[in-house]
Amino acid sequence: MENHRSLIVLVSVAAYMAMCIGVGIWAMRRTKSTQDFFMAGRHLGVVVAAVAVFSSTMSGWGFVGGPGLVYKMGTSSFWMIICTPIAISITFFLLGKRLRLLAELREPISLPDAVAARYGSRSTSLLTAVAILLGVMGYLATQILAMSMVLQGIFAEVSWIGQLRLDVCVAISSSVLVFYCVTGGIIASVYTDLVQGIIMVVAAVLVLATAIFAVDGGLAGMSQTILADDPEAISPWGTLGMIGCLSWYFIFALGACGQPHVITKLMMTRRVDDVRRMLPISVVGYGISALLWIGIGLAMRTLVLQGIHPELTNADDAAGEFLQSYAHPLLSGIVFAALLAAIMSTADSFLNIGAAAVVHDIPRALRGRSLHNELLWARIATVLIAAAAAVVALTSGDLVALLGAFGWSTFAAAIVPTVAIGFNWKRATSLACNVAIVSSLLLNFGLKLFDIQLPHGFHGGAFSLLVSLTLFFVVSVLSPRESIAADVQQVMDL
Amino acid sequence: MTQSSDTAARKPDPWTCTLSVLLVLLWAAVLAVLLTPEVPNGHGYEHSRFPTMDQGGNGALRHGHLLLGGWMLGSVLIATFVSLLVCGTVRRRSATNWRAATFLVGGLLYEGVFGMLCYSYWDSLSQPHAAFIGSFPEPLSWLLFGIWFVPGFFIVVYVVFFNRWIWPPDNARQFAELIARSSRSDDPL
Repeated sequence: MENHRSLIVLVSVAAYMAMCIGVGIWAMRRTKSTQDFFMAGRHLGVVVAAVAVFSSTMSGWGFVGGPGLVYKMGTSSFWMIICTPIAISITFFLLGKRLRLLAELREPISLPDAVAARYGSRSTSLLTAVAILLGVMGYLATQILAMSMVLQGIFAEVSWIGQLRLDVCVAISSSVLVFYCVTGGIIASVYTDLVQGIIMVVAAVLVLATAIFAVDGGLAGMSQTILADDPEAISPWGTLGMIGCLSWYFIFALGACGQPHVITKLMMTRRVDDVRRMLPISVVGYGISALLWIGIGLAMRTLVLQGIHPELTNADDAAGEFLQSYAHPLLSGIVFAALLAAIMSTADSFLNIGAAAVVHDIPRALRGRSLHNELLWARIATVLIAAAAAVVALTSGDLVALLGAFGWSTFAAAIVPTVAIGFNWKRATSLACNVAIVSSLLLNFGLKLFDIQLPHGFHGGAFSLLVSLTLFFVVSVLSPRESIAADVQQVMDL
Repeated sequence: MTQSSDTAARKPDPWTCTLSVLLVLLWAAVLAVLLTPEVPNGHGYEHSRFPTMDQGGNGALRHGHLLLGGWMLGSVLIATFVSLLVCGTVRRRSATNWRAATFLVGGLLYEGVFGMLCYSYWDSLSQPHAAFIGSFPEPLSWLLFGIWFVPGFFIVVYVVFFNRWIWPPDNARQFAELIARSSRSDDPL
């Protein structure tokens, strides 16, 4: 079995990709309009929508970077996981009902469309679309790069394929992604998300069990070993420290309701009260899939400290090396498929909202009307955005990491005030939104570009979120009250 | 589309009051910790034997002067999160007391667990041997089994009281009437 490990992994990944292509072909027949392409015709069932919410939130970074962070920093990154129940709760309490009502009332096909309905302002809609597009390019480039590197590693292990160039792997992985996103739009995206979410949950449970059996004494053995080496690494704060961890708690808990690829899914359900059952499913699904993050991270730190495993050359190799050395080949196959699933389930959502920004939101904000034959243009834009992100991934070096890191915080600081607060608070004004969005872009990019470190490891994105929330509030209160369309106002009263 | 000016009374609404209080508290807590002097390597440094790992070092040295400020920051964050949940519910005069009491209980539980996490960490700094709850040291157990799971209270509230505090039947009826009246061809711009 061990001799065939690489072949089993390759077959699992190939089967997974074939499934994605199959879903794309199936979804193509159900995609007849831009409402279908961007909003799934508002016909998503509870389970499909709930799984799409959590699998879009758990990106490939969670499956690769997460265990790497635990290996490197101990328990600090647990705060990114344990914030999820409150993060998804805030999202549902503030936006679950509100966005779905607005979706039925005004039939928006994107978040900037909903912003336009709320504020009646083209400039706010345009800035929201631009912030989304900038974040999407960064996130998408990192996802494509991660997907290609995973594929390159898988091919390298198969003797009759060998080491392929990274650009070839980018072409292969992007082709599958683009195929199902172009043919089936968001319908293909959410149904692949469903399969991807199930694979992630199954893989995470099996990996946690494997991690427990890989270390003498299981979880208690891991704790004892890490505690003996450095008690702080197994304290609630890890090596980062208390303030850094709490700033992560803030940006990841509150920032979740500003992630456009997640919150747009709240507009796609059949009925308003579907959100009632979606919330627990999303929280439990994410919680289970995060067990992989915890299990591999703690196990690899322990195994290296015990001298059983050689020190990693790079913390991000933790997941790969663990699977290679300790997991059954069949499990490796499932987990590598899950890894690609985690990456693709996030990437396809970004591709869809990016295409909406390019063919719908920006033209509508600038010209006051949509493009003719929007569905065709949406498909063309999907290909072009994926191609542009692939070029960025291959050519921009460190800029990819910079843009990727820029994504979550930018979305949080730009969209939390504008959407999560502004869709509930009638006093919010379009000018305040514009100020919050611009300040979030400048602050986040500035902090990353000039590598400005705040004291005590306080997260720059958390600081940006606090600044943009404050500016949003102060400008809203100081600027003249704005009228809200009567129907939107009634929705805000419900 | 008919535009109607916001005729709401000029007195501050609950959102304005809540946001203003929360932002003041957040800035106070954030500035208090950011202005506290840092100790060298206070947020981790390279492991002495394994350069790809970090280590935290002496917990008392790096956190002793920060614990109170950190506890205040964490408590304000939790208050912020719970307040936003409350703001996301429907305000009905008949339900106000029960709604407030429910979220108050949940909020206090959340704050209590976070307080226990901070206390058990502070206590562990002076103990020669770590106390365990299950497979993990006690402070980490408060994080994993407390902070991770306590928001489950609000998820239960959302599911159980959905028809009272999130989407009451009379709201559903009003919305159905609104949809019936609304012309869907209106251009919001």
